[in-house]
Amino acid sequence: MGDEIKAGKTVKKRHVYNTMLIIFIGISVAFGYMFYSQTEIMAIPAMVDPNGPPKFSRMIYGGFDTEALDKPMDVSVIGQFIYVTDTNNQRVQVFDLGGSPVFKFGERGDKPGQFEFPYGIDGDSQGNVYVADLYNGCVSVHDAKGKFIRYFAEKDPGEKTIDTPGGLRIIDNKVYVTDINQSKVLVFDMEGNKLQEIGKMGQNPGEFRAPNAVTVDDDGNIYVVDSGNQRVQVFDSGGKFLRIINGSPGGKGPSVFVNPRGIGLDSRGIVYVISNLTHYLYGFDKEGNQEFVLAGYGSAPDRFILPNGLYITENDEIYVTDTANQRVAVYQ
Amino acid sequence: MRRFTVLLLTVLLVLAVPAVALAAYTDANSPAPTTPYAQPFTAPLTDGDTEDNYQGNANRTGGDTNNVDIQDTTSTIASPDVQNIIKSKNMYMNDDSGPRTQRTHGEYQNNTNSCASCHQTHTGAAKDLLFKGSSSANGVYNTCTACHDGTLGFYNVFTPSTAGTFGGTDQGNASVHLATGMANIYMAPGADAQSTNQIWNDEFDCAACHAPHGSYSDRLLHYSPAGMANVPVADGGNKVVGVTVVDSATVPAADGTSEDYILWRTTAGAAGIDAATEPADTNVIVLMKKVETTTAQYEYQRETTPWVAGYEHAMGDNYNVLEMLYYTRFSDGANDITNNLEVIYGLAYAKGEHIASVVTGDIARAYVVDLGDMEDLDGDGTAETDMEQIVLGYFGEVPITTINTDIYDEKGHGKSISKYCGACHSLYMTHSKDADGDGVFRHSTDTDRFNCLKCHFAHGTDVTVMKDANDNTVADLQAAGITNASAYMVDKNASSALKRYTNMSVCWKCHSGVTGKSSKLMNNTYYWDNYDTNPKGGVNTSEHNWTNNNWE
Repeated sequence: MGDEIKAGKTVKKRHVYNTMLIIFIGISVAFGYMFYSQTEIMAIPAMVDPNGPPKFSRMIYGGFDTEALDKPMDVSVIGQFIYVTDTNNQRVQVFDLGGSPVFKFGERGDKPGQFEFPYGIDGDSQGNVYVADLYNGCVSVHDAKGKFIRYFAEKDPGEKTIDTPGGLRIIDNKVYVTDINQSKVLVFDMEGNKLQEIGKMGQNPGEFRAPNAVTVDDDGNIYVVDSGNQRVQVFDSGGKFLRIINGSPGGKGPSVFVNPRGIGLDSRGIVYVISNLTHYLYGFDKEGNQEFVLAGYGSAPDRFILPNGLYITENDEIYVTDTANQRVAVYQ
Repeated sequence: MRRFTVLLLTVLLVLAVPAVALAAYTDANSPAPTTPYAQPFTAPLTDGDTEDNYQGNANRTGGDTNNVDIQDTTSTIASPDVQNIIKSKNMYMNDDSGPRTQRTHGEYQNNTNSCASCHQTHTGAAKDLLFKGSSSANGVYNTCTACHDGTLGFYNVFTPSTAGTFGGTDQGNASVHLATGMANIYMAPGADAQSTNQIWNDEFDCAACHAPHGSYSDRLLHYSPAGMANVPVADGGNKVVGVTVVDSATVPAADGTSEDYILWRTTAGAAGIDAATEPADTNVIVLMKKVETTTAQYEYQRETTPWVAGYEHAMGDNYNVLEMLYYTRFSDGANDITNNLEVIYGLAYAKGEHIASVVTGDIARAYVVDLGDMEDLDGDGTAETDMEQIVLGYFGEVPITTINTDIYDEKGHGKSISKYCGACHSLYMTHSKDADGDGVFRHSTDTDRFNCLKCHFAHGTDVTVMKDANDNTVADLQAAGITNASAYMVDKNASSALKRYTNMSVCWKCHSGVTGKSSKLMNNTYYWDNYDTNPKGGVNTSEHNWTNNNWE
């Protein structure tokens, strides 16, 4: 056998290897050239701007027909679930973090476990869910599965400690509630004892007209969305008025807001504010200088129609309830 | 070793071709990554309104104010500009300090940024450049209820008020005026199928009854409900058409054969226009209505209902222009010369040198509903003036008001309410056995006393807002210890029909009177004369107005 092969034309193995190598290099160079000539190389830092505005991530919808969200007013992420006040359906819809509907709780009424106008929603460290009901005039506490436990700070809704609750946030073991008709922000400890009361009806600094949302920054400063006065007011932890944020320099000029609603802070300290009637999401630094403005009117994924509630997670995911589009938008 | 080298190179070669090809293919066909959003706004924000032109100002209305037709700068809340075609009493003019810079309802500042909240300049999905909701309700309904749902703390349409409530429950047998835009105006019960109204197909929503930018009526009731200000009187509307101009130094005389309406060309002084608003020697044209003062005796009296202005525009379906729609206009016999005149719509007169040329005019007149009272409502010892209402409280400096429901059958008020409702519910606005002798017996709603609001709520009803004939509510009964009050009060009919009183107590409420026609059901006087002591019934004769039937 070996002799027969040797009888043919002799090809040196080295030549074979060299030929293969040349073909390999040639192909690599040819396709490499094509690759580089047709691809615009972007610097990685330009694609991921740590100081830029958040990007639209995804949308959360309810189900079809009677399962759909109807005027969702506020949203909160508590534990592994997303809780949305499905206000016109007088219930709370619960989604997993992927946005799939999991369960709902509540029905129309003024009894324990029932709602008339569920609005502000947030959770405590045990995963209990606190729901502000504007019409029933109470904050009810539910377990993570929605079972009614008790009323917060009141024995029953008839008590007037909390009259017309709108926005509700639980931050550092304190419960912050805006009382719309009383034009006040109420601060409670987790046992329901009232610690603090900020504001009264009026238009001067430190006064409110129908405050709809509240949040607190890392320094304990309290940010109140003063909807009827088209502004955000910032107070120190003692309730002392600090400044106004309304999109103008120093908060002294005309406001950019029309009916401002939800508010939140991300880990960078950016203050996000919803302008309901202009359908925008604004971002400001803590001094109120505008960083960016997103969305605007429409039904496309990065648009809103009458947005209202806003919630920001520890991971800087930004949830916005888009009331007339009947959905919750997530930005990151 | 050599075999291994051969194998390695072969594998490299085989892998290299598809790998490099794939890399080149993938990257050549994917869009290059770009920055997904515009750069953050970095230019310094200023207080200068003329530079207020960035993204937050959706219509980019900032710019050279010399090119902007600004409003009358003399109008203030203390001294409002009554000549303005629309008014909104609670707004502040020309105050560019403080938070009142985003008014939603009217008398906007000259640097306003409010329009784009509701109107889309180039992308409106509905008439009047309004945006539409994407789902169950239209843009008007969604926009109004963004604030009027209680989240601003006042005028919540979903809780009980003197207009009833939109927030009723099925258990309470709720019925509501379906203002979500789901229905068209022509679907109104009693709508006139023969109507010549050009906007009969419009969606019925909040703006069908309320003019958000202001009106001549209380509660911002629309100056032209269902467009009826511009429908001729002969067709049930409020417009007088082809009215002839009469020259006369004194009020023209009238007799049985005179025209119902004339336009009188005279001086402001002779027409009785307030000298504070118009010098007495100014030549004006005013509208005069023939009134029968005593039997067969007539005279012309000035008709001061505000005139309605509007652009003429084509009416029709999507493809065909059927008719041009005009509002108030004046003709010299051949041409429309309205633009040559100065028409003071709010005060209902026209002036300017060209009024000498006017031969005829069409006058579209506003609907005016006065729900104020001439009585002392708030008990401060002085009677309220027209359109003044009861102040419930203040939203900042803006008064939040309600109306006195006793006004609903006040002489001089009630009929305008029925006429207003009759803009859509046309056939219900009539007399028993109407003028054509149709032989149908019905409540004569074209009187001050039997206007629509006497029996019905405007917004909606349910068990929580209804009363029984004794004026008790569920809350009243529960307070008195009655446990099944809701079952007692809930309306048993298929529809609760926006009623103020449950079941047929809506009849019994009035037809238990002690005088006049309403006393016909009073078969004996035992109960009726002993209201105070007889627990079984009767009627409270001291109650405002309900038993006084001396006039109708």
